[in-house]
Amino acid sequence: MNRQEFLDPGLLAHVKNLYLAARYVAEGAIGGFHRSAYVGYNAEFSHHREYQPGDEIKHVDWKRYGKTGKYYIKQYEESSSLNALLLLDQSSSMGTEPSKGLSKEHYSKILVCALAYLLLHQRDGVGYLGFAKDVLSFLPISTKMTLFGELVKSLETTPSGGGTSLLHAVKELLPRLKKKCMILLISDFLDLEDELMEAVRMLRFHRHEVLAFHLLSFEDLQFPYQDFSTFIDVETGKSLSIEARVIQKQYQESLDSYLKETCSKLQELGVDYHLFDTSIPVEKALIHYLYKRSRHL
Amino acid sequence: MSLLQSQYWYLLFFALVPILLHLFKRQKARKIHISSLYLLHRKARVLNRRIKLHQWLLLASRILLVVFLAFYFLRPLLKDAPALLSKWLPHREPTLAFLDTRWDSSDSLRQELIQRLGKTPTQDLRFKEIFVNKGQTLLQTVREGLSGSESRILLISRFYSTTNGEIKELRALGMELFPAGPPRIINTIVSELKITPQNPLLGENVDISGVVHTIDPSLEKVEISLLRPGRDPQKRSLQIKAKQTTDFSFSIQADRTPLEVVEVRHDALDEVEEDDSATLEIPVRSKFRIALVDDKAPSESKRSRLYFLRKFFDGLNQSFPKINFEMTNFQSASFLQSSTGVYDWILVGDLSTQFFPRNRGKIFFFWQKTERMRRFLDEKLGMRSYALETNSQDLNLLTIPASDRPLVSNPWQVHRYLQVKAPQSTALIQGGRDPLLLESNGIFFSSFDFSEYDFSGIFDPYFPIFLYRFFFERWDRDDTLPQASFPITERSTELSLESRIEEEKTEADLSFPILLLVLFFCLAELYLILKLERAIQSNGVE
Repeated sequence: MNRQEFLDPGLLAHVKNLYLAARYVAEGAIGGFHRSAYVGYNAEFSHHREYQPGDEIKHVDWKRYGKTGKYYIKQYEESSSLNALLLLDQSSSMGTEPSKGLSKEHYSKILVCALAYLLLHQRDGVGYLGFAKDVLSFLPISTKMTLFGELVKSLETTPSGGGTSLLHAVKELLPRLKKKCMILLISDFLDLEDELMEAVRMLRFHRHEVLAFHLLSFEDLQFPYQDFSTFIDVETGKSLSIEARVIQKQYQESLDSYLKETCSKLQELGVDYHLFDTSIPVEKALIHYLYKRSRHL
Repeated sequence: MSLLQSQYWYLLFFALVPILLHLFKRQKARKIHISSLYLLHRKARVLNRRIKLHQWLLLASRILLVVFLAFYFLRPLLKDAPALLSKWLPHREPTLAFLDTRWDSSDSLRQELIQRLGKTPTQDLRFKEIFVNKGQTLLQTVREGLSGSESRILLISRFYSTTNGEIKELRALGMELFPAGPPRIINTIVSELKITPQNPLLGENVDISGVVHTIDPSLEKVEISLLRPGRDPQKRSLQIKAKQTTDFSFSIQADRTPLEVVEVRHDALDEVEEDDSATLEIPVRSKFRIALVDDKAPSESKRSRLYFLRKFFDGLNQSFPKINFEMTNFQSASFLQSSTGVYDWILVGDLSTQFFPRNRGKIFFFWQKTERMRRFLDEKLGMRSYALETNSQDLNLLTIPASDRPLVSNPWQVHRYLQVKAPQSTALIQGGRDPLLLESNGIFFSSFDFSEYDFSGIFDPYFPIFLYRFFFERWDRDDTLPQASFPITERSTELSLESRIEEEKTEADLSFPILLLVLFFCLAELYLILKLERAIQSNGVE
């Protein structure tokens, strides 16, 4: 994967104008969560940008409209103290090649870049931790745009593979976090049932906000197999030979219940959970997510 | 347990087929790398276990089906089976028992065989009496009697005179050999008797020859007697050795018609009396009827093609004055109208009308000079141009090779040639591809024009002999001369079987239960396939 692949200018241009809201973002600065704490529309003016469908009418600069006859939205420099940490699962399970769309690994890297760009653009602090069985790479939280370059370089160079140990990664991570953070956990969460809950519980215990980005490929979601096949677990190497059509229905039921359980358990723990289908373009999925999130806040 | 059709053991290898198919299917399975077996394992473990169990059961059922099917064809037989089992599943083996009745009666051989087979002999036992004809061996006779449907073949015989090689070949045929009677019988026989000439004329000297054979090592001398009713016996004292043949011969004058009866007997003491003597009935001719048919000229005329034969028979009549040679001249039409009965020979010279008498005697045609008559005879005989183009193989003719053809340009040369080349067949001859003298359906011909030759015997001294043998010997030959049938009365050394008395058999034929098992596994296979299919259709949810 080269840099151009996950630094798609189109995608970055889109996400640049979007806005990732963190529930606890202003908690430290303004001492509580209320709607006036909309991040991105602070008192300090930054620049204008053209109106785009979806922008709220109230943010339109009517004076400028009077002068130019065009709709512009006022952009302000955000001065919140949001620190976000991107926690990326780089285990082997993310690397399986799907028949449709991007691999989860590829997809997650694009997603990480997009989110980091978005956050840095909001002048938020961004950190990064890639993990598999162990911590593979770590970038401390920084608001400098140079971090983006380091992040991309790290994504490029860090070899992925091996099993997954989220709990271990979280345990490694927690001592390195000095403030409350928004943890963006990006993983396929396969084989992590108890470990995931335990890790989230630990993060929530330390009052970090957790956003769970659940990445599943087309194959994970649809199980489009029919023949007698040998399924090999890329992480453990274990195999299972079975008539695929026999298990298809069971798999779907199993997947549905698993997703439902995971979602409800995470939500119980106050985690913002979102499922990403890697066959849907990153840009589309991310925009959808950001809009959805902005509406909920 | 034993296998009755163990030669089909390789059928068991077919059990590998379902295994190989199973492995092949597994080998063919697509390898798919997935993120995690986690979701599959959640329910697949139980489900897969169930499906796998079905598949293993199906595989096991298929293997067992093939194995049992193979066993069915191998015909397993349980030896020392419990009495109840052997009663309900008796071993019915189609068995053919040959009874060699040369020395023993068939009843005694049956009883002895049943006794040797045990108290419960095979229930499908079929007996077949055989008698080894003169000139045949036991092996040939048994081979002719085999039908091929029997799984077990027995042969009970004394096996006297059977060679070691024959015993080996009999065993190679899969036969069980049961020797009966004592291993050897002290016996001396008179055999291979020959009479020359076989059909003598009245007053003619007849030679009677033969051999004496003994297996008695103590016998060194034997006296052979030739007995004729009302005459003094002729005797020959011979020095003999065991297991070697010794020739003897007698000479008598045939002076009784129509039969001269003689008996040849040896005086040695032995255990078989039937072959100590042989009685010969020699047919003696005192009258010889010959019809000479020629439309061109009577046989006394030199223009007739029958002239030389007339001369020959006249000469013969002078040599044997006691014999009445009745020679009658006919034209073809007058012969057909006459009712003079049957002739020994009808000699046909030149014909001008169609002539083909039936049931009036043996006919000898000369080669016809007219095309019309030749064609007529061709049609009658189913041959062309006096069989000149007939395949000699079909007629069993002696073939004179083309290279020898210059040697046989006249009849006496033919006779001499035959004396040298084929002393036993002096009549039917062929020069190169051309038949010179041949027979078809009892009709004789010559493509030779014999009228060119002088038959006085001065120039061709052998030709009268040839004609004599042709008219009196060859075609009157009777093969019913008594021959000794047991030249050796000692058992082959290859056969060392002792009397076999078997214990009561408790064998159970497992074919039927195995067939039931085959059916069971067929049904099991069907059931498992349906169940597996249903499990797959319902995604394992039952």
